[in-house]
Amino acid sequence: MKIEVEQDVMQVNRTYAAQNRADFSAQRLCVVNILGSPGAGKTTLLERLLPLLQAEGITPAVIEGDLATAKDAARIAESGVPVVQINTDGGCHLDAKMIARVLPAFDLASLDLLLIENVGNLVCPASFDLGEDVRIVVLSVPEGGDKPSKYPATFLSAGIVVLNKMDLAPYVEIDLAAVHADILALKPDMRIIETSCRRGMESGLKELATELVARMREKLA
Amino acid sequence: MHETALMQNILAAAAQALAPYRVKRVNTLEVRAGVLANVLPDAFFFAFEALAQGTVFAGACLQVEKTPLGARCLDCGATYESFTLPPVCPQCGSRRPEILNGTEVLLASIDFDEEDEDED
Repeated sequence: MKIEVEQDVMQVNRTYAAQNRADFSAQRLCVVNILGSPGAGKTTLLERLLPLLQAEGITPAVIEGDLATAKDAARIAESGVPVVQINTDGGCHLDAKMIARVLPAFDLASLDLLLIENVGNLVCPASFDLGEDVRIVVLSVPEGGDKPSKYPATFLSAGIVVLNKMDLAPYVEIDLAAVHADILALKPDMRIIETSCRRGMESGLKELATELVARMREKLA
Repeated sequence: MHETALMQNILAAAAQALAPYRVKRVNTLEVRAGVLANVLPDAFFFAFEALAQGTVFAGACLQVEKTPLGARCLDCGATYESFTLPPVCPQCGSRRPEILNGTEVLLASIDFDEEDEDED
């Protein structure tokens, strides 16, 4: 005999994500999910972004997702920003339940912005909504400009693409115009921000901070 | 990359669905995966073979069907389906969709034989 089951095994994540989203809204908290390959510069970007956000009067917190170690959380903690490390123990992505589980570690009412650094992986995290308001994909220029067209589901799911390590662009012979065109071909209204985390090259980071503040205000208006 | 975990969940859902029956043999599991689910069929079949060993699912046939994403055009409001990325509105050609679905991984159906009434 044949039975129809029609059970979506991803539904559990969607349910947790919806609950997270409701909890975040109730606390008037804006949440950002940051995706990118290992080594794209996600943690360094956060380290440099946090003081710029604080200068705008924003109280941020961070969740760090990694397979193992608390190295990234230790880096963020040095800045004094509240941070929780999630170790996925080999898991290739964060899911909404993992986020729900660590939220009690924060005083959510005192926060304006929660930045979640996902596991370094350009594939799996894209399928898992965490309940965030904004999804950023960080692509560093040495990774190659072909990534948006090779990982369309991931880039399509983002609202902002950060082209990081722009200081290396002259050395890696990347066709930046083509990268922009590829991203916009996927999503014409994608916000693309070019950044470098080198000292003295903060203009892109400032642009990103301004963009996040604008999106926060938009959500809380 | 997380095909093994997904397959574990599918087999758990299947075992639950079969709990009320006296199952002799599972013939076919039908799975549907959205184009945004990032499910690689080869890895999925591999995970199935590994996890089914020694269970009622060993030897069953796994069928995986890719399903389109659903989208609503932000420019003309049309709703449509797409198997390809990026989704393009068939009405107006816009590439500004609101994605409605496409990440689902569905255990659609199970085909199995029951133990005969008069056995054991």
